[in-house]
Amino acid sequence: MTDFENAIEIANLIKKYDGFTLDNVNFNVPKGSIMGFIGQNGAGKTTTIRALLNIITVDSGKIQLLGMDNIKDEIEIKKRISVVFDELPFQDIFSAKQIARILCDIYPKWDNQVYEGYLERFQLPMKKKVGEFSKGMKMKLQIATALSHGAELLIMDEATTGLDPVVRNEILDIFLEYLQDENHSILMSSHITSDLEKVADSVTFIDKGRILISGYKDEILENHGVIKCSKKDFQDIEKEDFISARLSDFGAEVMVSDKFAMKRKYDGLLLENTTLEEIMLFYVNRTKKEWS
Amino acid sequence: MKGLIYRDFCLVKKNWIPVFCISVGSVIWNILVQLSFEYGNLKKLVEENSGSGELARTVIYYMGLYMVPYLALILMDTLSVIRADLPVRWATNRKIFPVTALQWTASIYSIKVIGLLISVVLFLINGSVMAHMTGNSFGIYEFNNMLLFACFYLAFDWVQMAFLVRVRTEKEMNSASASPLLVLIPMFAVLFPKAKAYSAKFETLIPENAAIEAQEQIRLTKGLLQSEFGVYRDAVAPYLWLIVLALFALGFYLTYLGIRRREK
Repeated sequence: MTDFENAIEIANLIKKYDGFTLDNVNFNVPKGSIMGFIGQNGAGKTTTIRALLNIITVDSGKIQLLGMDNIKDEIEIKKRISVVFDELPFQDIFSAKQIARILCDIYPKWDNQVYEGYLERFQLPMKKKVGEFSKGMKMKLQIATALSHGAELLIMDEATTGLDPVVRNEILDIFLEYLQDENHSILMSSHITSDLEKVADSVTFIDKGRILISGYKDEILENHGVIKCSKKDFQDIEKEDFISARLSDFGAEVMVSDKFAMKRKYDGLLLENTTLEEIMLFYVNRTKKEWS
Repeated sequence: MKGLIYRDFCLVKKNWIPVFCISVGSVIWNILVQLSFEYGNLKKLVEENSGSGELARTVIYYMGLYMVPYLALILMDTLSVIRADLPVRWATNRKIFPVTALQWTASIYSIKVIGLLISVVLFLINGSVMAHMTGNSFGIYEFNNMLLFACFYLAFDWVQMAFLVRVRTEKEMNSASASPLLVLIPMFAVLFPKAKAYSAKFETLIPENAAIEAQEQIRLTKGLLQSEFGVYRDAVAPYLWLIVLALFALGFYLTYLGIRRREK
C-alpha cells in the first residue's frame, strides 16, 4: 500500500460548462481527518465530487485519492472508498439483504457481520423492501453499506440533507466513531454548516466554482469575526478590511477575516465570534460588499 | 460479477415471469391445437373444408412452431432494467462502485444469453412435440429458420442497446425504445415489394369462387412461404451461428462503449 499524507489531493482542477466553471480548485483532505466541503446550491460541490470519482471528464487538473491517480487507478481506489449520495442507488424492490448480496460480490472486503451489526444498531429490517423505508432509514442503510467493506475514505455528497436533527446527530456520531481509526478520512459536502461545525476538522468553502477558504475549521472560526456597530461607525471601516457587511435599520454587521488585526485597528468596536454559516453568508455576498 | 447479474435478474424478473408463462403456455396451446386437428373439432373443419382447412392447418402449424421462440426472445430484452435504473440515476451512481465497464456489460449480456438459451430450449421442445404429432420434419432446416429470426431480433437489440446505455432521461429512453426502427424500416423497404408481388401472384392463382385442388393449395402456400425466404436462409445457413455470434459481439462492444463513456 502506498503511503500517503492526504486522503484526497486536488490540484488545479478546471472544468468548464456553459454558464459555470470550476475554476482552479485546489484543496487537500489530510488522512485521518474529516473535511467539510461547504457552499450554496450550485456552488460546485457535486461537480467537484463527480470529478474526484471520475464520473465526469475534466478540462485539466490532477486528482489523487489515497495516494493514487483517480483515473489510472480508478477501480483500485473504488474498492477502498465509499460514496454516499443523497439518494440510495438501488431500486425500491430491493431489501437490505438483497443489497448485501449484490455488494458482497462487488467489494472484496465486504463484511456481512459488520453490515448486519449496523442494521441491528440502526433498527433496519433485513427483508423489507427499501421502497417502504423512510428517508432517514434509507440514509442509514447507505451508511451501513458504506461502512461494511473496510473503506478508508468516505465521500458524502449532501448525505444529511432532508434528515431530521435526531437522525443527523446519530449519523454524525457514527462518523466520529469511524474516525477513531487514524487511517480513515471523510469528505463531507453539505450546506448544513451546523453539522460540519460539530464534526469537521477542516473546512473548504466553494462559491461559484472557486475555493474561497480552505483550512482548519477552528483556525477559520478563530480568525474570522463579526463587527457589530452603528451605520455611522461602519463608515469609518475601510472597504479592504472587511469581506462584506450586512446593513439593517439597527446598524451594521461586518465580517472580517483577521479578527485580531481588526480588534487592534478598530479598537472600541464590538467584535464577536462567528459561525460557519455566517462566514458562508458573508462570503457569498462579498462582491456586493454591502447588503441587507 | 454474480452480484451484478443477480441485480439485473431481480429487475427483469417481473417481466420474465409473464413472458415465460406465455411462452410455455404457447407450447401447451400448440400441442392442444394439433391434437384437435388430429382428433377433435378442427379435424372436422379440415375434412369438411379440405382446401382452406388444410391451408389453415399449415399456417397454424408454422405460426405455432416459430411464435414460441420469438415470444421467448423477449426474455433477452433488458429495456426493463434500463427503465428501472432511470429513477435511481444508475447510469451515474453505478460509477461509485469498483466495477469495470467490461463487467457491467458482461452482466447485462449474461441476462441476454440466458434469455436466448431459454428461447432455444423452448423452441426445441415445442418443435419436437409438434413434429412428432403431425409427422412433419423437425431438424436443421427449422433450426436454421429459428436462428434467422434470432438474428433479426439481435440486430434490433444491438441498435437499441447502443442507444439505451446513453440515456439519462425518460425522453431519451422513449427515443431509444424506438431505435429498432433503424433496422425495421430498411427491412420493410426491401421486403414489402416482394410481399406485394407474392400477394398479387396468389390472387391471380385463386380467383374468387374458383375451386382449387387441396393439394395444389397446400403446395402453393408452402411454396409462397418458403421459396424466397428459403433461398436467403440456405445461402446463409452455414454462417448462421457466426452471424449470431457476430451480432452478439457487436452489441456487446457498442454497449461497452456506451457504459465506458464518462459524462461531460
